[in-house]
Amino acid sequence: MKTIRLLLVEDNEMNRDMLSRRLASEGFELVSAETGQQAIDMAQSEQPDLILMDMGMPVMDGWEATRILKSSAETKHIPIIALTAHAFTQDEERSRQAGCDDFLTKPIDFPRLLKAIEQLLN
Amino acid sequence: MFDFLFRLFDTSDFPARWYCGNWTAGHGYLHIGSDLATWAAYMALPCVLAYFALKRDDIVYPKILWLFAVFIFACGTVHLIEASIFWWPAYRVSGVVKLVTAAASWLTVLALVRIVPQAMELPQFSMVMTQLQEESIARKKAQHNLEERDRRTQIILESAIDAVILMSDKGHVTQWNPQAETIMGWTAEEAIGQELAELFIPPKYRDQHRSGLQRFLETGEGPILNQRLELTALRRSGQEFPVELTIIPFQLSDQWEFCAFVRDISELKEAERIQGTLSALAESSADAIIGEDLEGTIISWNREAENLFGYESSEIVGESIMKIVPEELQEELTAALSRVTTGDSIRDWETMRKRKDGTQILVSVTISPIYNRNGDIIGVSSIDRDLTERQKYIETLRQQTAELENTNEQLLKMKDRAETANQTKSQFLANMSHELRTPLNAIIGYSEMMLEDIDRGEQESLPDDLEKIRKAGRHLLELINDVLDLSKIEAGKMELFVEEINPESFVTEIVETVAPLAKANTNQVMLSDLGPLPNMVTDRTKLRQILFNVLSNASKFTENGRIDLSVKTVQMSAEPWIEFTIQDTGIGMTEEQLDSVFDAFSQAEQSTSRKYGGTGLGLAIVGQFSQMLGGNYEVTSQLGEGTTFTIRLPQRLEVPVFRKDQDEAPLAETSASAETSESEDRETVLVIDDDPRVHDMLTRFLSRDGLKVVTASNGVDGLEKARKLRPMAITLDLLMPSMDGWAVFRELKDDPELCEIPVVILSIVDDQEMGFALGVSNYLTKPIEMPRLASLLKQYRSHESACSLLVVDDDADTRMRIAEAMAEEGWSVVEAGDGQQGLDQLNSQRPDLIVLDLLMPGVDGFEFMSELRKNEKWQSIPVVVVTAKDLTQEERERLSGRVESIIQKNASRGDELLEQIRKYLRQRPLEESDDENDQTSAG
Repeated sequence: MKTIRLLLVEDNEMNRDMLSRRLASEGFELVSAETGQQAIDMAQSEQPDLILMDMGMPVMDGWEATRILKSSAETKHIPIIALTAHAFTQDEERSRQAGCDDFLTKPIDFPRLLKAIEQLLN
Repeated sequence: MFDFLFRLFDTSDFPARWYCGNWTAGHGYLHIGSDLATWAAYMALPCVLAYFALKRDDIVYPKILWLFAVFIFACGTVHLIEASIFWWPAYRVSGVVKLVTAAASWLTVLALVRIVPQAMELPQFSMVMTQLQEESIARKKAQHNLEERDRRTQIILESAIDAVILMSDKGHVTQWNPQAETIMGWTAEEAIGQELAELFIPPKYRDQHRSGLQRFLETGEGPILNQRLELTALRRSGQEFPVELTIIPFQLSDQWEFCAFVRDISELKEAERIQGTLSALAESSADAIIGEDLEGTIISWNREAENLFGYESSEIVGESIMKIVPEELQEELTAALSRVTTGDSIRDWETMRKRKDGTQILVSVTISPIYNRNGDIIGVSSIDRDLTERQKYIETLRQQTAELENTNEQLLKMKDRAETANQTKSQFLANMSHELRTPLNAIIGYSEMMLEDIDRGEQESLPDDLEKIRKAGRHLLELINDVLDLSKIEAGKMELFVEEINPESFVTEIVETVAPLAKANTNQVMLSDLGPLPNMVTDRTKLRQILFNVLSNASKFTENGRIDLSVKTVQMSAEPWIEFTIQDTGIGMTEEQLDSVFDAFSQAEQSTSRKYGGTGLGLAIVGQFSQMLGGNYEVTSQLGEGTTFTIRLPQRLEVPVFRKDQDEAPLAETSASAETSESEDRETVLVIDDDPRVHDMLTRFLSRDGLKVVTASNGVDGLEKARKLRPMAITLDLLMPSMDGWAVFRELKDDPELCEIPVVILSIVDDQEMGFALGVSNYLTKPIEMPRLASLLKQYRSHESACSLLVVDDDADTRMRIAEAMAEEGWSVVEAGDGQQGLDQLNSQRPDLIVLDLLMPGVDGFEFMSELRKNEKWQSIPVVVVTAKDLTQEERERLSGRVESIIQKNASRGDELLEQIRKYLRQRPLEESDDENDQTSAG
């Protein structure tokens, strides 16, 4: 079985560290990006199976990065899960409009995250 | 010798004359003829005389006539004999006859001589005749005059306007002119001969009339005679009507008669009545009403005209109307008047008039012709309405409209502001949520991971992960502290502790604190330009946080740079201020970022915090604290170059006004004002409203509930009174000129002394949401529902003044009675059915006084007391024991020193019990300061 490659986009070092370690221990292959621009670059170069996208980031935020990824032929097929501390319904709405396939609020319910990844990849 | 008398007719001795001498026939017959003719004539004359004398009996001297007749007859006879002597020579007869003639002649002469003197007296006949004629003419003339006079009198009588009635002394009508017929309705034919009383006098006055007449005839007294009287008379139809009556008595051939002149004045009376009504109307009119004749002379001038133009009626009547018309308008009015005098009316003509004092006023004039009964125009009426007031009114309306529009605008602005505030609040919540979730994510994530690691027996990463959890936790704490600070400030609950500090050492200390932070980014913090600084009087903690936040902010956004802190004195207004300047060489900010730099959670970019850390609240706190310390702040920045924060604070922080007043006011005044504010505090309601009717209504209504109402008609006055009186509650109108209700509200809430006073908005504007959002205690829309307002205010009164009382008694009736009575006196009463309940109540609320029964099931009064005294917080609460029990010496000892008073409960005399409690309270007023301290320490 092919190893699933995830791109984790997260500007907060602690959260990036924590999530990548936990996901790695679940058997995922992790690549990570700290900014929106990095995310786009890496999505193209690494061709991950799925992207976990933090929304509030400096320079290029998650919404914009998602929009770009979803409008590019090379990357639009990659499912994106929004991970954000913005927990209001309008935030979810906004994320889905930007093109996110799923939406999870921080603090992350890890089993739910795994389930969401599984659903999107099947 | 008398013998010849016997021979008279003896002719014998004489020849016939023809024969004596030579008579010619001619000569002879001449004699004869002449004598005969004379004789004939002399015969005729006496006959005529005699005839005359016989026919006229008014002859003055008839004897003379007769003498003349005899004498002439004798003469004639002589002539006859002379003729006959020619044939018959009767000389003797002739001689006798001549003698007779002579005698008669002499008799006549003698008679004539005798009467000549008398006859001389007699008028000449022609004169007599003339006189006679004249007399006759005069007589005729007189006759004519008389007739004419009669006729004239008749005409006068008939054409008199008045009824003219003659009455005999019997009271009967003798004359009744046509006017009497017209007025009374009886014809002359019917009236003459009737008793006047029956025709003309109403039955009830008839006897009076008759006795009056009688008395006059008897005594000559007639008090009503010869004067003009107004009486009631009677018509034939039976109708009574007013008359003017004059009765003149006169006497003809010893008989009294009476002439009555009667004038029907019913029309006059009616006219007088109408005139009276009209002039009352004119007088009471709110318009000036001016009557003018055709020449424009003022003939009437009502009261309002006096008011409007300033001329008294007495000084203007008779003057020309032009006196109140400005010169340049006189021609116009003349033209208008001439139109009116031809029957036109002029309505609502807006023009100017001149007052007595020369000022001109705008009036609306309506000019109409005045007609007499016959429809002829005899003058004009001018109704002048003062438009100055209307003008003012319109002006006021315009002003009010403008004010309303203004208010509306302000309301809209406030609405916007409120909406913005609401948005800000939502944004704040969203941000809070975000800021909390981010560290929580790390905390939860790491701890879950650590649990998994422990499960798997992997331990090497645990200390690092724990450190990350701790860091995230500390960040959360920092965040929560900041949020609490901010919310405290916003709720106005942040307190100031003012103390004197030395800025130099203070600043140095802070710089030391920040140094490690700065170093982390390899920055240098420099203290520069520390001039000679006076000590500051301010809140140390707040100032420290201000400077720390700004400095750490600068450290965060600067790398390998420099942060300069300088402090100097600046002169702002009269007081010296201290200016802190923090300059960094960091990343700087754009204009937009600058605008919101002091807003909560407004880090330049939402993600900035992830890079630079921080809660996004630090600068918001800086802004708020600077304001609290009476200062201001300012930030300038250049993107990429650096940022400069300037904080200016008063060197001496103004302590709230009331404390200053109390400290500085003379002692007597302090106590007096303290008394006033204390005594009024609990009852006074301040009504701030620009509508005096609201003042009136609230004063009347609320004073019924025992509240004192003080009114203020504008915001400034209201605030002044609020500060002076410290009312128990304030009612506030929103729409007021100059300072609107919200502005007043803001000031009230900004004043630490007043911010606790409940404010009830009374407004026609229904914006309760905004009101409550801004913190009003209640919001009632006009029209005011008075009972609701009253009950609201009563609540505040009880809240404000209530001392709390705990009644611990197992007898529900006693409890209730005490509770009700004490509640009426403004106590808030808590009831407990036994000792345990009582102790529970103590835990939730500390009462100011406890009324305690001793004998209760479960925890009784004694146990309650010992529990009470064990607890330090409760020891000072006074307790009044109310018991039906006769206490033993031992029991008294158990209680002594612990209870304030023991009152014997007597079920039949409940009032006495209450009286005892009241009496106790009067003797031992509660020490409120102690209680407060206790409460503070308890809370």
